[in-house]
Amino acid sequence: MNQLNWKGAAAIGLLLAGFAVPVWADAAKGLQIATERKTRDEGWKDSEAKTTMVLRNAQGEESTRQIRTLALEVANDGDKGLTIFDEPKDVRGTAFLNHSHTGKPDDQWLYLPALKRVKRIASRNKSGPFMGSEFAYEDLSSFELEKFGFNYLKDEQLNGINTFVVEQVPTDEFSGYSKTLVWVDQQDYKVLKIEFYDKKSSLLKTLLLQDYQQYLGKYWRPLKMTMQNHQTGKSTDLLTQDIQFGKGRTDADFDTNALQRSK
Amino acid sequence: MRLTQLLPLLCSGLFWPLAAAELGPVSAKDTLWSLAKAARGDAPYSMYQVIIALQQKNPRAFIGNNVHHVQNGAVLQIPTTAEIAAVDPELARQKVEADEQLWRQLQRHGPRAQGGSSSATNRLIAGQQKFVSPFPQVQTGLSATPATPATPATPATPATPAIVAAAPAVPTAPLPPLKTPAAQPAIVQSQGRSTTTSAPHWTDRLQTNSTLGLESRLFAKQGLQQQARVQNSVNFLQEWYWQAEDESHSWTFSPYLRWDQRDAERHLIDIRQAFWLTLGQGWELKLGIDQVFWGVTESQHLVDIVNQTDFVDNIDGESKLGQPMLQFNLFGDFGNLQTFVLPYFRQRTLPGVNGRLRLPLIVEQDKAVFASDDKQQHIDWALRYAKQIDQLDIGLSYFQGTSREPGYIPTAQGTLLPYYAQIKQWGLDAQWIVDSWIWKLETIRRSDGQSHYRALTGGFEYSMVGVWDSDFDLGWLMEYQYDSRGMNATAIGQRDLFIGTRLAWNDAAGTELLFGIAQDLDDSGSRSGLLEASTRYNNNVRLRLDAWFFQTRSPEQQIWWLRQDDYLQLGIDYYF
Repeated sequence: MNQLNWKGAAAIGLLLAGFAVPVWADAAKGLQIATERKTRDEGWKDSEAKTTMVLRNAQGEESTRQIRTLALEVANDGDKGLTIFDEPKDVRGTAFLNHSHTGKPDDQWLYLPALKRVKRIASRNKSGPFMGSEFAYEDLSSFELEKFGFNYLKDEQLNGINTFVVEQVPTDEFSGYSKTLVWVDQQDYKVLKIEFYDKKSSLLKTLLLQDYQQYLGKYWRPLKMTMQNHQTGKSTDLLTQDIQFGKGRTDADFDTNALQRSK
Repeated sequence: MRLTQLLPLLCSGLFWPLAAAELGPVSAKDTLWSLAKAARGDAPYSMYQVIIALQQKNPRAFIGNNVHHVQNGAVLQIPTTAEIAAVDPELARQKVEADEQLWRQLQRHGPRAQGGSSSATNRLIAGQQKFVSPFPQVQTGLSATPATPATPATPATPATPAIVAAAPAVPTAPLPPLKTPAAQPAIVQSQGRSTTTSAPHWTDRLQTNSTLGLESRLFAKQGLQQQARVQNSVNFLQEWYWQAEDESHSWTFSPYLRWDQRDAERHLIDIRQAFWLTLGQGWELKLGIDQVFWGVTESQHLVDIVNQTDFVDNIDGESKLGQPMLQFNLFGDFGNLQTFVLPYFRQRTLPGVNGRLRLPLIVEQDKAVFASDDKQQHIDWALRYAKQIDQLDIGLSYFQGTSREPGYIPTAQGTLLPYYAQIKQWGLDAQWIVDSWIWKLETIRRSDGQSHYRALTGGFEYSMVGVWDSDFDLGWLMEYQYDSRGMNATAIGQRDLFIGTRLAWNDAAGTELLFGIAQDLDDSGSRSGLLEASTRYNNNVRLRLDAWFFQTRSPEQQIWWLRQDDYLQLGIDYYF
């Protein structure tokens, strides 16, 4: 009996150790991977891109949007972004300015060209769809370490590429997700795939990031991102046509004056 | 076709094969090399790959198999991403560079005197079909072929330049000589008009947008003065915008036209915008006609005073006439300071005899009375200082000059004359963002020399995202409206409560709806309400539904005169 107890205790001990040790290691390795991913993408300063969004409903009917985006890297905080809408044509000239932050809600403004009005937006909740697409505002905001808790899960081969699979749990209670699973390429730390789980922990969306190109000899950008919503059958392609770096943009190109001037 | 018109076509086709599958017709002055130079920057594939893929996809469009000689008038099939990716970048580079070298030699030594014709060009193209392409088809594996020499081994001769130079590129397939006299003029024609580094044309930075709107107002009842129940109108807005390449200055010109079926006072030719804007570090200067919006609230706009209201367009007061101005902005860490000099005054648009939503007496708009002897030439000026302090936005403004809002002088003939006083107005607007709440306040103090009054609008907007387990956004608006003049107020809201809801479908059609009611707090029987809904029909067309209603039993109310004017408006806006 004693022996059995001892064995039982050992089994439980092993079991605990078996769970406890990797969990501790996973969080540390998860953060380490995320930090490396972030570090490798630092120093790009500013970028401009033209993007086409193709929205597809469950029946396969498509509609497209054309947008131009300007981005400014901000050290020790979230990045700044300015998005100008070109199509559909009824929203042309509308512009969206976002100052993303790590420790507090983003600052967001919308420029409405018909009224010549800059309207500030309450941005606490970023889980809403961007332009009716399958991308939520939070999916498009800059990657910051403070926004998530990380957990390394496993190594996995994805289309022949060795990846780390990292679980990210949003720190923001207003996030639309309970967690995301991220497939990070082990060589360049490019994100190849993300699974988004809703608040009820069911799989909501899968994002595939493809056609990676390297810029300035260092920074990788996917030219094609496909977001598939598994619950509605809808999907959105985000196709980037032309990225330019180092245009010398400053904070002055990302304030409400610049927003009013944007065309 | 200009180079930069080609570029977006090219790019969209390359990276999104679902887009336009062809581009052109190409004009003789364009070369693919010039396209490549302009697009090379950070394009995802090297432009060498793009060029070779284009050439392989369109062998007939290239003269002498030289990528720099694009056939005049050719329509190019755009290669797919896969086809571009299949091109070996290094081999592509060598081929393009070799062709360029040849092209330069042709420029130095080639015959220049002869002209060309398109039929000659066509014959040359037909002749080229016999030759083996220096590049095998993608499917056969480009990287398997020996590298193309970077420079032609044999110097080109003036007589048959394209052929001789092209030969070394394919050592295994010697090219038959092409001696047709037609060949030379065709090449010369292409050379003469092409440049490798053509500068962008100024019109490339010109944006042109047009909007045509059709509106039909359907009134529930005949007007108090027996006006018709149906009123149709057409409007047209044209916008031109040009920005200098260094973004240091820009021009904007935006005329607006409106024609109304019933009310001659709704006919309008207006310049909404016509200004020159220049900016430097921390400052901005604008000269010309523009529209400026101040304020934060939704149910009415007290602080907003720079522009005159185009009242006949929409009684919500959000439609504005162009205002001539000199505007100077200073901005920095201290905030944003705007200074305006407004040298000319625009009268408010008011409905005419046959118009709806009007006062019972006829307003003689061409006999307006001005407090200032300078009349419309009185120089008004305005200031606004605004600062964002974390989640709080504050704006403080001052205006001195001609009141945008008319008073009315009754005449012996039973008509009214608009009266524009000289006023001084202080304004304060503030908003405070707390999570999903935005608290808003606008307040003014206006004096005309004899008396003064205060008015205020304050309340909140609360936004809910993804309500009812859907993508819907639901917003709630509540604003209290106060005017110290009480029933003598010229505005509708003297002590009113506005409650509204905003619903956004977040669908592909961008469907949205706003519904609101302003209830008079002193007179339970008086209220007005509005509905604004719209949805996208296609990429160019938006459909709109607007409605207003006015309810009162009290002749003292401003809206007493509008009690028959409830209406529904159907609108189609066509954007092109």
